[in-house]
Amino acid sequence: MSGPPSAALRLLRLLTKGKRRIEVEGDLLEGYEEWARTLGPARARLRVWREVALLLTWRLAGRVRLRRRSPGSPRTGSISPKRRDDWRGYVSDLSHDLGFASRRLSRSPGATLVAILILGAGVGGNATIFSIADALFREPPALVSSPHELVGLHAEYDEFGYYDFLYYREHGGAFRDLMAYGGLPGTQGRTPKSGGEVAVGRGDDLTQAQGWVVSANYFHFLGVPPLHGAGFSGRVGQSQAAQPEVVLSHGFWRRQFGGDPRVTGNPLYVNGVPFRIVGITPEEFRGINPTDRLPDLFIPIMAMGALIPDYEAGLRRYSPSGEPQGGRDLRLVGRLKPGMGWDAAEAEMASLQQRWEREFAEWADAVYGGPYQVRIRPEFRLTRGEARTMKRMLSFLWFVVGSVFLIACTNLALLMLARAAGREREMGIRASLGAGRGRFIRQLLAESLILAGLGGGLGVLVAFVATDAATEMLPATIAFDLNPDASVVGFSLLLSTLAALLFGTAPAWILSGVNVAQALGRTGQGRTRALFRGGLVAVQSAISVILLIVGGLFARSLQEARAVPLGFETENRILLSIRLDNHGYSDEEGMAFLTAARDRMAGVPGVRAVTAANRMPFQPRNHWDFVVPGTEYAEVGLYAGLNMVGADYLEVMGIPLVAGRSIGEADGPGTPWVVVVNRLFADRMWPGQNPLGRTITFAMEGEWRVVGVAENSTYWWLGEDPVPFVYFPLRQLFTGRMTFHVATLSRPMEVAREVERAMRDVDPNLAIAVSTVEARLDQQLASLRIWTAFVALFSLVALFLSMVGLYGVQSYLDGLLRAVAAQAYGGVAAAPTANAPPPGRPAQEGGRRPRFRLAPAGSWSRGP
Amino acid sequence: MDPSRVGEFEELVLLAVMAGGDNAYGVSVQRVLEEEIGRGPSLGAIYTALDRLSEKGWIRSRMGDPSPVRGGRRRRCYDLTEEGLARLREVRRIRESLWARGAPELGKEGVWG
Repeated sequence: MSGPPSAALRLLRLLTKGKRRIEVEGDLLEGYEEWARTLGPARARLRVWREVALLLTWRLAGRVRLRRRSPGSPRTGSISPKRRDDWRGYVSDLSHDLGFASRRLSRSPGATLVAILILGAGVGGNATIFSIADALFREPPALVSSPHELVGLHAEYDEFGYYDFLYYREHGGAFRDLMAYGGLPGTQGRTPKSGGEVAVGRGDDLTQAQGWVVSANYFHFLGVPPLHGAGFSGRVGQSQAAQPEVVLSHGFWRRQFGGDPRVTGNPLYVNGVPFRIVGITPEEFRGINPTDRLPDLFIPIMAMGALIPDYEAGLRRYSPSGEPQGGRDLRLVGRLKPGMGWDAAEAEMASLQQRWEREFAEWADAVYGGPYQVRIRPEFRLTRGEARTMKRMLSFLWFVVGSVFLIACTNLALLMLARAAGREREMGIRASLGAGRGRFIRQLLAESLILAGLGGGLGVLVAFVATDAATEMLPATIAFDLNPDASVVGFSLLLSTLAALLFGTAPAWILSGVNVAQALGRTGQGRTRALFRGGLVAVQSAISVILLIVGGLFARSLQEARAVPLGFETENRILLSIRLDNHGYSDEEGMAFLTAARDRMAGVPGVRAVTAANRMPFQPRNHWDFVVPGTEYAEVGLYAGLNMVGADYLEVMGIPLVAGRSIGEADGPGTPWVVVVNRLFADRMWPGQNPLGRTITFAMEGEWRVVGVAENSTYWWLGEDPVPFVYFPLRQLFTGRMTFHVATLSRPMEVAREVERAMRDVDPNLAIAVSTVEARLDQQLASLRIWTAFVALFSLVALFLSMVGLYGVQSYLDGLLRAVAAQAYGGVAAAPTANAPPPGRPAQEGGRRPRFRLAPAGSWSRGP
Repeated sequence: MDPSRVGEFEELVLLAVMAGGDNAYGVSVQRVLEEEIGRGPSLGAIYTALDRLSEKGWIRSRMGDPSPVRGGRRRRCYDLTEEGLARLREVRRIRESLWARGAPELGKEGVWG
C-alpha cells in the first residue's frame, strides 16, 4: 500500500468543512510527501494518522474550552433564570449519574473494556454493511443536482439510438431535458458498464483509456460544472467532428497529468486524433448510476466523427439513401419538469409512445420487427437484476455481521447481568434507605450510555477501516463511493445506544425488582434470571455454531476452487494485449504484424513459444449458437464459446489434443476454413460419431470443417460449468483485438520486458497491456479468497465472543459465590457445590452455581 | 485572560510565520518549528494557534494557488500584520531587558539576535 491513508483523510473530511478542509487536506498531503521522503512511507502513514487524531482531539478540546469560558454567552443567557436552575439541576443530576457511572465502570476496567470492544466490533460491522447498502440503495449520486427528478428511459435492452434521443428531446412532454450516454462505439463493450477502449497519447507515451460517448448537454444536464475548463462548447445535434473536444475524469487527470490544471485547452491524442481538453470532472463525481464504471474520457457523441468516418450518417433513423437503420447503444436519462408527478409523467410517456408508433411503424417493422415499448423509471436506483445480486450479497453479509452482533449483544447482557448480580447487596441497602426503582435504573442507564458512546465511537472507527477493505471486495464493475457519512455515524451511535440500552438495561430491570430482605440476606438467584441467562447462552452458542458451519463451507469451496483442474498451463505464460484496430491497421496489415511480432518475440532468449488469440484466459465471453443440420441442434443451436486463435495455440497453452490436428500456420485466408472443437462440443453435437471432417456453420460466414478435437478446459471464469467450445483460426476470422500468449522457460516477469520491447520494435506506437496467466488466475481467486477470509474471520470472532461470554459469566459467578460463601460461613473459604448445599436450603434445589449442560440446544442451563 | 498577552507557543508560531515570509502555511510552520525545537508540534496545535492569532489580528491569511503536490488543493498562506510584528517586538524588548538585568553580559551579546 502506498500514498497517504485514505481512511484517515476520509475521517478528516467527515469532521472538517469548507476552506479549513482544503487547507488541512492540502497540508496533510504535502506533509505526507515530505515525511515519506524523510521517514519512509510506512512511518509517514502513521504520522498522518497521528496528525489526524491529534487534530480531532484539538477540535474537541477547543469546543470544550469555548463552552467553559463563556458561561454568560447568549447561548445560556437565553434561558430564563428559573429554567436555568431546573436545567442546571438536571444537568447536575445527569453529570452526577454519569460521574458515578464512570467511576463504577472504571472500578472493573476489564469488564468495561470487554463491553466496549464487544459493542465496537458489533456496531462497526453493521455500520460497514449499512454504508454499503446506503451507497447503493439510498444515496443519490454525488454532485448531481436534484437527482430525484432524474428518470431513466427503458425498453428491452435498455438502450436507444441517437435518433430516439433527438425524438424524445423534441417531443418528451414530461421532460425538461434529456441526455444520452453510452460506451464508445466501434468497440466490443458497448454499454457503460464496460466502456470502449481507445489509445491515448502519442509516441512513447501511449496508454489505453476507457471512454463514454455523451450528449453535448451531459454535464449541463446533470448540473455538474467541470472542475477546470469550460466544458463542452457544442450544442446537442451539432457536429463537432472538425473540432472534437474531450472531458477527462478526475482520476485519469491525476494519473496522467499529475493533477495539473493547465492541461485544459491542450490537445489529447485519442487514437492519434487531437481532441481539445475542455474540462476535468470534479473528484466526487461518480456519474448517475452507482453500478456504472466511470470512464476516463467523456467524448461528445457528435465528436465521434473525428474517429470514425461516416459515423454521423449512422446516427440517423434513415440512411442518406433512405434505408431504415437501427443501432441502439445509448442510455437515455430525462429530467422531469418541475412539479411533474409520477402518474402524469407516465401518462405523458404513454401518449408519446402511441404517437411514436404511428409515426415510425414502418421503420420499427423494418429494423426491429415491431415497435418497442418505452417505460420510465427513477434513474438513481439499480436495475432489477443488479439490485437482486447486490441484495443477495448484502443480505448474506448482513446475516453474518448481524449474527455476530447478536452474539455480542447477548454477551453484553450476560456481562451486565453478572455485574449487576454482584451488586444486589448494594441495591438492597439503597432500596432499604428509600432509593426508588427509577433512580436505580437511571444509574444503570447512565452506565449503559457511557458504554454505548465509547462502543459506538469505536464502531465508527472500525467502519472507516472496514469500508476500505470492502471496496476491494466488491465486484470491479461497481465503482462507487463508500465513504461513511454523517448518516452512517448516526446509525452506528443509534445502534450502539439501542444495544446498550436493551441488553444493558433489561438485566437491570429484572434485577431492580429486588427483594430487600432476600438481597440483604444473601445473593438470590431468581428463576427468571436463570432462565434469561440460560437463554442468552443458548442463543449465542447456536449462532456461533451456524457461523462456523458457514465459514467451513466457504473455506471448503476455496480449497476446491484451487484444486479444480483448469485444463491449461498457468505457469510461465505472459500475455500481451493490443488493439490494432485502434491504431488504424487494416486486416492485411494486422496479419503481417502478427507474423512479424511473433517471429521477433520467439527470438527473445527465454521464450519457448509464441501464439496469439482474440481472447485470453478468464476473459468472458464470446459465444454463438451453432446450428448444424442433421443433428440434435438443427433447430435450436448449441450454445458454445468461441475464440480466434493463432498457430499452435493448444500447444502453447498446454491444452491436450484428443484427435486430429490443431490450428496451424497454414490455416489462413486462402485455405479451406477449419475449426478445432473441444471434446464436449463433439460429444454433444455428434454423440458416438467421429467429429473429424464434419462441418459447422458460423454466422453467415459459410462452412467450417472440424480438423481437431481438444480436451475440455476452463475458458471464462473459475468454477464455470463445462462449456462446448470452438477454436477458429485467427487468420481466417481476423480481429485487431488480440493477445499474444508467450510461453517462457523461466519466471515470466523476467522475460516480459524483453518481449514487450521486441513487440515495440515492430510498432513503437502500440499501447500494450502486459499480464500473466497466473496473475489472471489470482484475480479470479482473489474475490473468493476475500469472501472466505471475511466469513472465517467473523465466525472466529463469534466463537471467541461466545467462549468469552460463557467463561466470563461462569468465572464471575464462581468468584462471587466464593466470596458470599466466605462471608456466610464466617471466613471459611469454601465454595458451595452441588454436593454440599449451604444449610438452610433444601438439598433438592442444588447449589447456586449456574450449571451449563451440553444437552440438546435450548436446555443449556437450569436455575435452581 | 488578557487578550494582548502573547503566549509562549503563540510567540513561537508568530516567529515561524515571520520566518516563512508572506508564504507561511500549516506544514511550513510545523517544519520550521521541527527544525528549531527538534520535535514539531502537531498540526492541530498549530491550526489552533493560527486561528487564535488571526482572531487577535496579529496575522492574516489568504488562500493561495492549488498545487499538484497537495492534490490540487489550495493552501492558506499566513503573514504577520503590523500589530503582530509590534507584539513580537514588544516581547523581544521585554525579554532582552530582563536578560540585561540578570546577566548583562549575555544581554549585550544579543541572545535574541
